[in-house]
Amino acid sequence: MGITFWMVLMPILAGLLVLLIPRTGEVAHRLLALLGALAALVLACVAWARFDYHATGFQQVSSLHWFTLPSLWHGASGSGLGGLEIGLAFGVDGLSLGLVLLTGVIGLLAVLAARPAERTREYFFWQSCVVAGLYGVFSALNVFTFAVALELTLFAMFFLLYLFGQGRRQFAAMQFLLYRGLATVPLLAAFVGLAYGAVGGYAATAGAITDHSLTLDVPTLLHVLPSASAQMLPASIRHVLFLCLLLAVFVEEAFVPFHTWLPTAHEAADPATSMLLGGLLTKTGAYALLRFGVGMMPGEVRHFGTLLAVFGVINILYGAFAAWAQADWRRLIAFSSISHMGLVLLGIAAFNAAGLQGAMFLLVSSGLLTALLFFLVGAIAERTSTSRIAELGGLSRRMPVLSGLLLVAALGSLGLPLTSGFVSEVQAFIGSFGSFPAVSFVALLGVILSAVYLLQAMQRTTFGPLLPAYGRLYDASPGESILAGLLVAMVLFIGIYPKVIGDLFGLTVNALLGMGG
Amino acid sequence: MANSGFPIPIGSVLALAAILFCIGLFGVLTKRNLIMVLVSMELMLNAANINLVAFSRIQSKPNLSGQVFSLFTITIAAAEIAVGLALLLAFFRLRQSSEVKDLDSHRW
Amino acid sequence: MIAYAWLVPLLPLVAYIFLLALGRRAPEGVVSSVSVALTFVSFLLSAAVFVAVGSHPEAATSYVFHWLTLGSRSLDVGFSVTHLNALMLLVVTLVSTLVLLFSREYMRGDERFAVFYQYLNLFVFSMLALVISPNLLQLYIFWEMVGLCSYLLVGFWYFKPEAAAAAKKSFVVTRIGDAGLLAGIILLFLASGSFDDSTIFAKVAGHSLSLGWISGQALTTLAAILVFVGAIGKSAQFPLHVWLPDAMEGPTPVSALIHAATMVAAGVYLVARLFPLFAASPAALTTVAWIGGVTALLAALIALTQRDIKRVIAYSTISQLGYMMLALGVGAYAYGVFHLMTHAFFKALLFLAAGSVIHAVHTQDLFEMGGLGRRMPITMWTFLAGALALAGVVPFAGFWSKDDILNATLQTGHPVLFVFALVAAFCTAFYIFRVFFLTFTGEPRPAAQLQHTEWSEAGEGGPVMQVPLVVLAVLATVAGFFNSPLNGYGLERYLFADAPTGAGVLGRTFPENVGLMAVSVVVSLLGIGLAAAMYWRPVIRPASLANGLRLLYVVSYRKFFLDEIYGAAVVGTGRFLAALVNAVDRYVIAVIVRAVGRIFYAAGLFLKYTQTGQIQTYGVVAGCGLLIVVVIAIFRAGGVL
Repeated sequence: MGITFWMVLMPILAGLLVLLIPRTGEVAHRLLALLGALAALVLACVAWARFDYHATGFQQVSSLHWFTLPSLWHGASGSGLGGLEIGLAFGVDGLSLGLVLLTGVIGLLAVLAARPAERTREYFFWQSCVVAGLYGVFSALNVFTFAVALELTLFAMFFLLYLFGQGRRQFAAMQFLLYRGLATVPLLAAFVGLAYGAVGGYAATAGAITDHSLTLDVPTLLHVLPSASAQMLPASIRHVLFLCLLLAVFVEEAFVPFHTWLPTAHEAADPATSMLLGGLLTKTGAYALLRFGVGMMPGEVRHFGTLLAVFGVINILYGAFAAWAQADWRRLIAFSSISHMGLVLLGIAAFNAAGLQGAMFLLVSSGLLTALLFFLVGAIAERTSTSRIAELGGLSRRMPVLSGLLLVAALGSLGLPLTSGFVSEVQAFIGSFGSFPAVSFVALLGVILSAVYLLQAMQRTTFGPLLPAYGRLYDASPGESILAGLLVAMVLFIGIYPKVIGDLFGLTVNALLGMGG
Repeated sequence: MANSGFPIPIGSVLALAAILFCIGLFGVLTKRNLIMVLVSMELMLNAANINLVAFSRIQSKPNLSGQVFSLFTITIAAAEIAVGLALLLAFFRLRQSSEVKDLDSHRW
Repeated sequence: MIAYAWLVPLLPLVAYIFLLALGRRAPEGVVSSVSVALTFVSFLLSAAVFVAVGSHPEAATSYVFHWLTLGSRSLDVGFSVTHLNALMLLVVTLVSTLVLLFSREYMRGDERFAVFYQYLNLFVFSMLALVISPNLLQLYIFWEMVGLCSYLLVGFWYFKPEAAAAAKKSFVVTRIGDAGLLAGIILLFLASGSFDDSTIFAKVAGHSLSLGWISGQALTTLAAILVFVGAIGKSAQFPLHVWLPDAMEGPTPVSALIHAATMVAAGVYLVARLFPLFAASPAALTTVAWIGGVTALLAALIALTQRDIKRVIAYSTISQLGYMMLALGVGAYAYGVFHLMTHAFFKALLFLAAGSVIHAVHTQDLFEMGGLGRRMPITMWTFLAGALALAGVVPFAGFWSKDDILNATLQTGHPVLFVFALVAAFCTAFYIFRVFFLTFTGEPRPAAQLQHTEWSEAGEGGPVMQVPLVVLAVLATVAGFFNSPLNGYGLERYLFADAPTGAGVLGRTFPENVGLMAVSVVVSLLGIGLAAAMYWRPVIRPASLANGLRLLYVVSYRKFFLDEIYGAAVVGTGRFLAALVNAVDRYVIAVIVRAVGRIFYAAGLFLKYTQTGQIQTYGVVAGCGLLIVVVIAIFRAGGVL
């Protein structure tokens, strides 16, 4: 039982304890959820402190065996094979650790930002479940654990949306559940296929017997699959598996045209849930693509590289143009995040050090900035009771601090230097220009458009004359200032000193490219 | 006949059981009265019992486990009838009917 | 000394952080004193660096630290001092100190006084850090940072809708250029393996700049032009010049510092710094020259008819930046930088003097001023010095640098561009003296008399405002001598001490070019004379002239309709695409998604009738199903199916 195991377990334990406390103990609910998130973050930081930058592979591995499926059942050829081990396994490498730390930060801040009006017990239970699931997703070391953790986030988030949302919350929650629930079907298909492929399960002739048994273990799959021969895993099947994975990723990342659930969900979610959804949940797909796509099927990433790049640009532009036309801040941020994820896809498609590292940076940067934006827009909407851009105006006059923070978030989001947004974008563009120059020139349009839609929204929200209705609003409370200030500080810190996560991601990038050869 | 200790040919016994089962099945699927449906179910269970007894006798090492098992079945069937009739009574109190076609609360 | 050059940008940063810590309610005296003092120390340090670099050319060097690893490559940050950088540091710190001092009075009483100084200090830091960057990545970082400061300061009076719109416009338009610059430096990085100037220059010189998909020469041209696109945006060159006049919504000291002396000159600085890259591509140089020449003329023509005092000076800035680009484009590296320096002084002066006027009369409309010379003599005389320098009258600063540019243009065989520049010079003299006469001479205009109370109070600001004006006026008068025959073209020799290879050196022809000097002075005097004839001693009535040339007047006054054209073509297209995407999103994709849902719903509507509630029906169906399965199984066992 290593620290990664306890890290995942802490929020769940906290969530279960929350359930034990009577309905009226609202402070205790919040406190317990906070403790759980804090403990998990501390453990994540311990994992970071213990992280060995010179080692390769996964560290802080902890696993919990559950049961073994007998080999007869899964029908793999050959008699000497052992059973299929099913259980939980966690561990981190550079990429995982970066995202786990992101989960820790945003998970903790989401607990702090949560303002459920009633039923705090259910709220904090489900919220803790989401956080635990996200820790699990980002640190899962076998595909079974990954799938379980992903399902946990799915259902917990469904209830957060369904029970605690606003407006068309039931529609939004149902759409969220259906989209992401269906996405797990091709994902599981890809997982099963990969596991079979790793033992030569598709070998047309019986000659391709390998000496290891069927396994769901990620490190083993990462080791075996990229070099699996065409006899073990025929190219046609690889393509199908990759496309299955890609389909799942497209839905999870809300890529066009599978994106409609995301703006709807953000419109319905409360600010803290939006922070989790926009900051973390929309990063799981990209993580899956990096871990299972780039890690296990590098050849396919190259093969479909142009396709990925073109889809990336479509997303960048579609998200940007759609964001320009939005009348509501929440939808605008949702489309802006779609646009950012398009750049992630472009960086991954480039398949070189800069592109991959840029994509990883973008996940963290976009996570922090999206969470920050949703938090601030939530804080503003709490005061003005609207997040529609046309109904706001001149907020700087009454809320200089909130407006200033919103401006920083917007500037980070449009990739201004000295924020994490710039470091990420510039790396992704260096990567994409190296592989797809023509496509990248088109993608640069997104850099301009992001300035257009974000600054236009800023102009209409915080600039201009103060609307009379908002004459008596109050500025950020100390708690809100500190919370948003922490996120801003991290955005700036990564922007000014990117080595802090660059060295982590660099390790994984080197490992991925080493395998890709 | 390999098992000379059994006076009736096994084929006849199995045919009897099959006929009994089919009559029971037909009754379950067609009878309008719930009591008749329950009775038909008993027929099906008894068909199974006949088979159990017959097969336990024609084994290479004949034993009594078939008979024992059919005793279990009869016990379970009795319990089942008790529960079934209780449900039927409750249903009758609710709907003033013992017709199968009135058992349609799961209709669209 | 040079090793301590990093202190130059650091001090304004310290001031910024200090002010940030003091908060937005800090006392005005403390805020401005700290800012001015630290920037002044920066200026002294810059002067020391400037002298040190001049006396020990070999000491000019760079210091870098590891910033980020990218695969096998290391990205660095740090600072580097070259002769060009040292000169820029000096100019920027000098103008900054004066503007910060001026603002103390100009912004007095503004509720966000401390915030204003915070932003200005952040700007000074960013600008100095830009100048001192050792590589293009860091340059780009601070290139964007100065853009941010410009955005914040243009929108400083955020409650004015025009200011809010102008701030957004300035950021977005320059961002178009920045996207080009980013692409340019990324291409250079990919082709040379480094963001470092010297590495890139070495590759360019060795013709070893290459990428898989593009040949070396084409790549050089492409990269140079992309970099130049960035310069077009930042230096407000045609066709991306439209943001600068609007940016005049910001406080006037901001216009003087950012939109005249320093930030807008960053584009020129960038081209000058990367001159070896441009020099390797004739096509890129020609582009630079033509864009510069066209901009110089176009902006001068627009400036002829504007009514807003700050807008006239803003178009003048665009025009003068065009001159600098023209100089660089024809290969006259040193003259472009020289004009950058002199322009920084006299244009900051003009803006500050205009600020002094606006401070006094609270209007920017030229036709609401008049007769202010008697009330504000110092402002008038300093403005006159700036105007003469801008018009290029001997011996003021602008004369020397502008004459050098005209000379170089003609010598390198660009007669058309020479004519452009000469016509622009005539217009320049006319419009700036139009401003001068309308503002300082004659009688107060009727519209102004309506605000009689304010008018009667109009007068000079305090000494805090006068000192910067006088200092800049002196510089505007004498700065030209830094690079004149009198000191043997000292600036040129200074710049060429470590000039990057390929920087064009033009042969000096002082005694022979006296004729050209005379021509340019005569042209300027003609322009001044026409302005005097129209606005001082009205021999020619401006209104009748405007009516006589109705079409030309309207075209100039409406700025060649470029704002309208962009509004329709670019913004309109963008908005249309946004609306289109949104419509697709709402009415195509969302509808398809809903339709998929409805298909299943409809299927359910239909299939629900199978749920009759009749247990016996279910039994029959299940029995039949079983039967079918059994039959199939039997047939398969028998080998039939």
